[in-house]
Amino acid sequence: MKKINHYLICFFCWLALVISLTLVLGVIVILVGKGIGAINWNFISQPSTNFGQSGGILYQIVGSLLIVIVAFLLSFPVAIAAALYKSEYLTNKKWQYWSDMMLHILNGIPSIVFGVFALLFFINICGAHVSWWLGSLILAIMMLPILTFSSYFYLQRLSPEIRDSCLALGLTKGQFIRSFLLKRSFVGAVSGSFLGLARILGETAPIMWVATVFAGGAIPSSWSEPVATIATHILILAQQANDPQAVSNGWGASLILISLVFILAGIGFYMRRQQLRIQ
Amino acid sequence: MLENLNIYPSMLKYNKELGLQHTLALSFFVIIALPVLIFFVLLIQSKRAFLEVGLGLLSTSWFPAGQEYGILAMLYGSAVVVILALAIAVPLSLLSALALTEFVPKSLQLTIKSILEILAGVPSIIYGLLGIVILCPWLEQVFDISTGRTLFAGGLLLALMILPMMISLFEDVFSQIPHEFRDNSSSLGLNKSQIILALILPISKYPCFNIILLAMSKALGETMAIMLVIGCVDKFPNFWLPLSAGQTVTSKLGRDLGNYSFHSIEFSVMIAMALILLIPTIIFSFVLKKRELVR
Repeated sequence: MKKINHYLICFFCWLALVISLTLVLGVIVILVGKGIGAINWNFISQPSTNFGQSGGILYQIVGSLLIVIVAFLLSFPVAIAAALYKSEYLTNKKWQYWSDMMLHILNGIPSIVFGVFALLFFINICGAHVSWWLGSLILAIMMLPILTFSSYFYLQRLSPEIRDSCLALGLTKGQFIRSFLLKRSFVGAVSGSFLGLARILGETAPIMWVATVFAGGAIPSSWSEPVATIATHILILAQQANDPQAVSNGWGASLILISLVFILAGIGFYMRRQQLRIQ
Repeated sequence: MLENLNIYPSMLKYNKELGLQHTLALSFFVIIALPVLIFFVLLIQSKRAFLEVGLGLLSTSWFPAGQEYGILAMLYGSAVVVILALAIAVPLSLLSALALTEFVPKSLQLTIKSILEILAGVPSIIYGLLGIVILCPWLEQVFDISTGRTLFAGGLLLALMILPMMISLFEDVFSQIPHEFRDNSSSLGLNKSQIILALILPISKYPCFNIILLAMSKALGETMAIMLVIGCVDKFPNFWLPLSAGQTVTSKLGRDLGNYSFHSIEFSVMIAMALILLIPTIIFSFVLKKRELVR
């Protein structure tokens, strides 16, 4: 009986592992298999025409990168400053608890709620027009907790000897932060930024009402213009699921998006592994 | 601040110190204030829905032209989809993670784990495309129904989406159990399956529960993929089987929010739905934080 139980448990564990790996890798195999046929130089270098049914996705790639890079530039300094404050100046236990809490909540808010908030706050309350920098702003908010935690935990891993010797040399807290901790928080935040960028690159819901147009996006020439992104482009193509040409273009765009995401996430996880090794 | 003054009488240095602290504090409190701001903006905008519709929100029919603003159908859809997804993904990921930590060789384990971590980041819109092009037609064939865009399809797709994340989190928990425990157990004569039943599962009961909560909050908030495969019919499903088209809170928001004008009452009801979506997130964060402190 014991033996049978043992074999049953082993069998089900292995079965589950095989099923999940098949499913998860199957997704990638399907994406690569279907997407590789649609990608050629024209697909990357041409603007799309006819609601994406023909042509390429040049403007979408530019739009995605623009929104995401500006979001990164907006959130990076704020996140570093917040992490430094949380780690160096915030000694009150209660405040530590509540700041952790707020960061956790901000990290867990569903992306669609960010979209609703952006529509309400930027467009309805502040009266802004649909433009790409609003998308950057809301994505920057989504990135903030990831960057802050990443930078904060790297600061926390600093050995107390280093802190003590710096203070023993007569540095004030401010000098210690400027000359030593700033660089360290920077390093911590960089690995988090890759992970954060990988997360926000594929986001559609937060920006679909405030920053993107569904047809005929172009490279923006001013602040107050909407753009098209790869993710919204896939959304449009997915809604034309009966048209094989549109679906094929959708697979191509998905493959490009997923390659970008995987490269960013891969770099991020690699850097985090490295950081966990050194003190 | 007084100690600073004593050590550094020079006013310039004192100001520099304080200036730095205040700059850092400003960014910090901006971040802390953001969730509160989001909550209150949503609350103020949905006030009208709560005051004017009130208990009418808890009806099953959504028909803005006829002054009916029931959101029960959407809540039901969300619940069905999340429960389906968890029912599929929890056992599958738990057993896979057990196999990964207990049976797979160490070198292979790290490779699979890295792959899963990266795969957890596949954007949801891509799952949506996958669902609408491959999963829905497949369901049509298997169950012989006119359209594959059903609550069931949403649940399956959601299970597929949270699977890599859950396996990698479960694996984290199981591999943190010290190896001495396993060695001691096996020297007492327990075989691997007995170690799993008597040691691994009881010890990691609470962390596993946390992971399920986390997956639940992720699943509740998924929009783009669900929106494409759910069918988007605002009715309460006629028969209680999930093989009919439905609507979740997120898909309703994603599809229709842009269609209503600001200041209309249906817009306010939509904001109330977003608020309802936010509340589980807050509760789960509190529960997770509390458990972290208890352990």
